[in-house]
Amino acid sequence: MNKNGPLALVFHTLFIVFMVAPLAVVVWVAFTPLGYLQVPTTQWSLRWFYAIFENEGFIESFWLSLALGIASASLALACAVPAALALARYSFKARGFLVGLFLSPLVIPSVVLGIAFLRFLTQLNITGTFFGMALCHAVFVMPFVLRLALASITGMDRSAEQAAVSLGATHGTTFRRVTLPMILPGLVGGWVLAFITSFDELTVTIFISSPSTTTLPVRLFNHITQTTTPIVASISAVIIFLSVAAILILDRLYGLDRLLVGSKR
Amino acid sequence: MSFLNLQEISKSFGGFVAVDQFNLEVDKGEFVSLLGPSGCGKTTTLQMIAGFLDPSHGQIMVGGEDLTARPANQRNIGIVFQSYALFPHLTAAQNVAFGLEMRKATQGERQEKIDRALDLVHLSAFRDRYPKQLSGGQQQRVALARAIVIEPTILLLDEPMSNLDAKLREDMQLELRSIQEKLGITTILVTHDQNEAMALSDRIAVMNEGRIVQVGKPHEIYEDPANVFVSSFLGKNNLLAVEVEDISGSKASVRFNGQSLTVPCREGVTNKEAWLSIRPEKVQLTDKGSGLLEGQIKTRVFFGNHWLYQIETASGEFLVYSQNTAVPNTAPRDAVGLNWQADDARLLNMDAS
Repeated sequence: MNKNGPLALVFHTLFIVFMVAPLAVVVWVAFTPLGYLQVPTTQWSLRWFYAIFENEGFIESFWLSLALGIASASLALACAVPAALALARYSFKARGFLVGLFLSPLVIPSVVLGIAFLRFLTQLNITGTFFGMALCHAVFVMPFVLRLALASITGMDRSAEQAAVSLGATHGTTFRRVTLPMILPGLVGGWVLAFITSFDELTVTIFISSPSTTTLPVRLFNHITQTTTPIVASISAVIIFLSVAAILILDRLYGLDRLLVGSKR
Repeated sequence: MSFLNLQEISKSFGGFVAVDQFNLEVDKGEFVSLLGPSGCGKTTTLQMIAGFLDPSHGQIMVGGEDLTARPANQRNIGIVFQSYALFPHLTAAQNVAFGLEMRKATQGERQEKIDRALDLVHLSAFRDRYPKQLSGGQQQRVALARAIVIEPTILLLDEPMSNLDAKLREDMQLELRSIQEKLGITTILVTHDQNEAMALSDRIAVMNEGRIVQVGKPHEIYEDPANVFVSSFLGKNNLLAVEVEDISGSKASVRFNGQSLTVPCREGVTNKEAWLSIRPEKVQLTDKGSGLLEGQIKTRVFFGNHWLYQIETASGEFLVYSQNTAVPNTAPRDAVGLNWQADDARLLNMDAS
């Protein structure tokens, strides 16, 4: 391992502090007993955590965001795998265009996408439905899934597939028993990124949500525009805890390096 | 009737002809190497035998059956890849089991065959390890066990040794040959390493630019190359430009440096100007003034079992290997004579064909 110079060390420390400090402050604030956003110093309380469970709206929104994240990430993955296989292994005329199309949600401003989605859903008459929102989120998270799927398929040794075929496997069996397990870490990584992106997406979702389909970020945003009770802090704290737990489990199962950086076997 | 019969197979990609009218007959149990530089079409030929590529033209017959149109997964051919291509998510034993599962072998039969195959490659103790927990040599043994456990009609080896270090490669070559002989399995090896081809094969097919240049036993090809390409690709050689005076049967009398020599000659040498090819180990250093050529030692390198000399002569640089029998009494810049038996030299056409 290379040693960092003193300047680099200072830079990295500051970088990490600026990344972590806001999160730490939010978690800290969540333990306040008071009725407004205030860093507690002498008194601590879990009252704002209990408050979450008394607020049905937030609980509902949490489940909706969770379901939406799972549905859109899975839908995007189901489309991305065959797309990535075709894009990685065949060269055809529309290849560049298709890659650009799939990745375009990354470069189109969210506001523009939100308005476009709203118009589109109205046209189809599915505004404010879970199905409509899942479709829009699937499009929005597609780049994340596709990028990681492409990377893992490109990095895979294709002779393993030839070996399977020579041993008597059909194309279907080869995909199921060899290709899929070999690219799985990349797919899981893509799915996780997509889920996280969908779970905390705000800008696009504001346009397409309705009172009956308000996701957690949208509800938090609405809440904070009207009041400043520390319940937003306690909800944030819960989400941070859940994310850390999820990351730890994933690291145990697959190794984060492999999931998010890819290619390391 | 030979066991594997490649009849006039050709493969072109767009306008590029990768394999051009390839004909080869291989007997049952024979070990044949396809040897050539990269891009000579040897791997393309292997891929066609395996069924991963369709020939543009020609037929692949195995045991009298036409395999040309049969899908790769129904050919019952075992392959060891250059990268080994093990399934990283399966243990050594599971890798070996894969082909048996595809054949719907019973649990008992499967276990027995896996045990036997792993035993054959001395990996019984490593059956539950994953590929990344095995060394390169061990991974290759797993790949070999996986390929032979299905009792294939033909075993294809695609540069299997090129990722191993030199010492291990030699051991594996000996072992591979003994396993192949024990199983009596018809084997095709693709390699660019002439030592590997010579060490392993019953016969070698030397390829260049999509065509077979020469087929024969390793010793035959080495001693009696069909042309300059084969002669330089299989080992080193010294080429001496000579003037052909007369050819009668398999002997030719040639002139160089003001002297005449009668040397063996292949059919097809017609030109006045030709190469006389002499292997470095067939040349002896003699005292100045007593050999067929005069020269001066440029460098002398010790290789353990032999010395290598580079010698400047009026006809170009000569390479000489001499056995390490004693400390040589020659040193760089010494003037020496070069001598060889007339029967050890070969007359070859100047152009490649």
